[in-house]
Amino acid sequence: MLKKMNGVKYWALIGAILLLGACANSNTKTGELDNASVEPPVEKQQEVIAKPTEDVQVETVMVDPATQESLDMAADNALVYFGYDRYDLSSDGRSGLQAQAAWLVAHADVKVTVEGHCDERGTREYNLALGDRRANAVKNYLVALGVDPSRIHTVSYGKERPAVTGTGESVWSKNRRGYTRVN
Amino acid sequence: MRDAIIISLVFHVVVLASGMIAIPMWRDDKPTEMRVIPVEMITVGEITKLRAQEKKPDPVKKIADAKKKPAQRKVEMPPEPPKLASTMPLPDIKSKPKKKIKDKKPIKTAVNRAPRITPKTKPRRFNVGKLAVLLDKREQSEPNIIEKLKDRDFGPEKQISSLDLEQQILSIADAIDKHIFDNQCWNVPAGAKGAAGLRVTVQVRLGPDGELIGAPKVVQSSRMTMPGQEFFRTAAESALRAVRKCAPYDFLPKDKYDLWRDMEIIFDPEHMLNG
Amino acid sequence: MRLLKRLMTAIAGLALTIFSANARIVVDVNRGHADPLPIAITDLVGSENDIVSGGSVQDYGKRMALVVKADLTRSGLFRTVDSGAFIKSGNALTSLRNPNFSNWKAIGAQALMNGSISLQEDGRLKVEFRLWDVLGSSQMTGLRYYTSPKNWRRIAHLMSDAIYKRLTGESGYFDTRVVYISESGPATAKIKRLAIMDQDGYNHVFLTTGKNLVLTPRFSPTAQEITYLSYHGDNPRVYLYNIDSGKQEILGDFPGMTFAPRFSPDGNKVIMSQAYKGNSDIYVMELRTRKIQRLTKHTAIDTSPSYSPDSRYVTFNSDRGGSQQIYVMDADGKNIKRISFGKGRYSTPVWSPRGDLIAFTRQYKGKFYIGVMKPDGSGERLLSESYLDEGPTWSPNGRVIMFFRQQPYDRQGRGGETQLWTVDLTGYNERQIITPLEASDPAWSPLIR
Repeated sequence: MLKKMNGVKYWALIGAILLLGACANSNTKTGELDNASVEPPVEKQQEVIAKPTEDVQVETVMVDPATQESLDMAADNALVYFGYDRYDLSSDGRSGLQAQAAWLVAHADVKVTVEGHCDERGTREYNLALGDRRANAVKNYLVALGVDPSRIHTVSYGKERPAVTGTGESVWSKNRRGYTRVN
Repeated sequence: MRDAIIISLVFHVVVLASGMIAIPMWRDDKPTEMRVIPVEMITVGEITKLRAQEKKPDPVKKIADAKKKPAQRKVEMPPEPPKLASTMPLPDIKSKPKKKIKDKKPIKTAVNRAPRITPKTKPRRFNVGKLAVLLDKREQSEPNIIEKLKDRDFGPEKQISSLDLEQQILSIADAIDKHIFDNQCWNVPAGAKGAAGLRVTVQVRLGPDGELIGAPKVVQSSRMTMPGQEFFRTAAESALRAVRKCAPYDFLPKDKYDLWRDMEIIFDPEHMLNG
Repeated sequence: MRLLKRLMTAIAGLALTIFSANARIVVDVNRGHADPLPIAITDLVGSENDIVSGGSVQDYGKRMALVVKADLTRSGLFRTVDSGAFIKSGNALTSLRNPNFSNWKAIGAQALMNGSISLQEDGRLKVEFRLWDVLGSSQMTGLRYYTSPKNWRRIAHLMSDAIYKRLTGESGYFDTRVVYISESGPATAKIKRLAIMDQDGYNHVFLTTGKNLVLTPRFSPTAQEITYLSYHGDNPRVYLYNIDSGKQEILGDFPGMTFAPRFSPDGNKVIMSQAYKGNSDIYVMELRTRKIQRLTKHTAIDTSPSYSPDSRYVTFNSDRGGSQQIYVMDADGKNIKRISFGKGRYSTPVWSPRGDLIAFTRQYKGKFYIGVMKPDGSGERLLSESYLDEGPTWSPNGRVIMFFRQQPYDRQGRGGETQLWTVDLTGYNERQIITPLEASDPAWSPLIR
């Protein structure tokens, strides 16, 4: 029990750090994240760093609760990428999912939908099946990290909802993804 | 009296039969003896030869094509069965402007076109025709070569004449085939699934000017109206259209009218549909 | 003795005549052309004084001739010959029964359609046409229809079917419809709607609003029902849509996503895939009893199932061999055999209604192709090629394949439009079907009866 708690705290901390990193990046990149709803956690986050030993405070600081923005910031925009016609997780993918799992454990009342997506270089029906594989690969990993499977719904969108449009591997690789959506 | 008739009948049948058997045998004995070719027939014969030459792929061009190919092929598709090797009739190649077709074209043409049947591969038909002409002489108003040759005494001469005749018939047949092809008279029936059994024989009678006399007739015409024989009917109709569209056949040598007054044209779509 | 001689001569003469009946030059013709058959389609002759809603009877006669012309031309097997001012002379009505064939021959027509249209007292139209063999100077077929004026397009399509059948020997496909997915909006958030139209693009109707993502509609053999995939409630499942009533219902109660549905040839079953916990297998549901049978059980992706027309086999797509290939199995799931062995990836197998071919999508080196092969995998031929061609569907006579084509995007991410195309089984005569918006996932109806 103690070990488990420690684990949770550890992940929460990681999450917090990642969150910070994500914000730092995002603020410079886009204006979108400059809006008020995102700002407060940033200030509070700095407090956390100032008192790193006070673990309990990390949890209370994350009040911001269960929004998509929170998860996005905590875990690589809640995205995991896949290779062409693949559904195995890369090491980057796994670390992103570890962050997601930490966030999910910290927000135990949140339910999510994992979307599986594909690039357009496959036929529609096969891609639906492939998207389902990807969504389930994400779900299985989250479950293995301690997230209750009943909290995770999966849905495959095949190639129906590309993140970006264009032609070429740099575009397609961004569309082969799993995305964890906060319900 | 009655006996006499029977005897004579039997006698005639025997003579005719032996003629049918013997004439081809003479021919097969010395096929190289052919020397005398009536001058007026050479034109048609030449066409046959010329066409045969056309068929030969130009060696220079072939090499050029071969050189081009690897460079032109951007998509390294595995060797596919040629597109034109279809079970379906193929519309004009020109109508589809596709790059990949272009560099395959020479091959396709070769695949698509049925190999020309050389004269020697169809002896039986010629024999029938030859015999027929020999028999037909009774009805002929003016004596033809056969008639003249027949009056001579020497065997070898006869031999030559039969070869001669064959050559003439062949040349005429080839000329008609070429005429039908060159004028695009025969539009192969579309959509036939299994082309087997869609061979259509049309009987044609021509006037001396090459015009059709009466309607061309399909052998097995009863099959045209049978239920389930829609593809045969289509094939037969396409053959009839071809014969009519290509009339008059006024390029045929007038002095050989006896040879081409009555003829059969066999339309076989198999090469087109399955080749 | 003299009599005997005469008799002998007579008999010999008879024998000779019999022989001479067979005595012919024999011409072997085995080279032909496959050009479109030149056919003249004349306006149906009707009164300009009889007015129906939407125009005079004469107008209808002209419109119907245009529809027939368009149908036959689009098939690629016919070329319509424009009569121009040539054939205007003489009394139209008598020439209907007694066309001046030499005139038609002179302008190169080999077949001729003429006919008439008139208004009945009951408000219906009487439509009559004859098909003539111009070179043979004979009638090939003639039909008469009575119909309400609003069905005029269907009647024109029926006429096209009759002409096509009489001249080619096989059934037409003009009196058919196409159900497909109409697309609008940016690619990242496309609005997709079920839509239905005549095979020539007319009588277009949207069947769904676009609120839910819908995909891969397929016709039942009666053409009255559609099975398709809807994301209603974020749960992608196979649905049934009744065209007449507009009623929709979910098919079955599967725990996982159901997709890739297709009717059995008798219309009593729907075969589809279920993706459950990351694994897709093929199932079949009896529509009346809702009984479900599982046909494949494999960790690979098994999808895109399609019945053979005799219902004895199912072809499907699987990556069980390591890459996507086409397989055929018995209808009960036994005897699974791989049939595609070419390079690249094969998918979306669809059995031809004639049973002799399977159409598919093939991907190889960055291109997509639509092709056909025999059910044993032999005789593969590719019919179309582009950046993205996908999803073949057969015309009911098994002669034409419709599919959708997506254009590539440009560097700014613009483009990527999808449209419907048809291609003849020969690989020629590729044509786009015009739709109001972008279009994908076409499914050709059977012949409407």
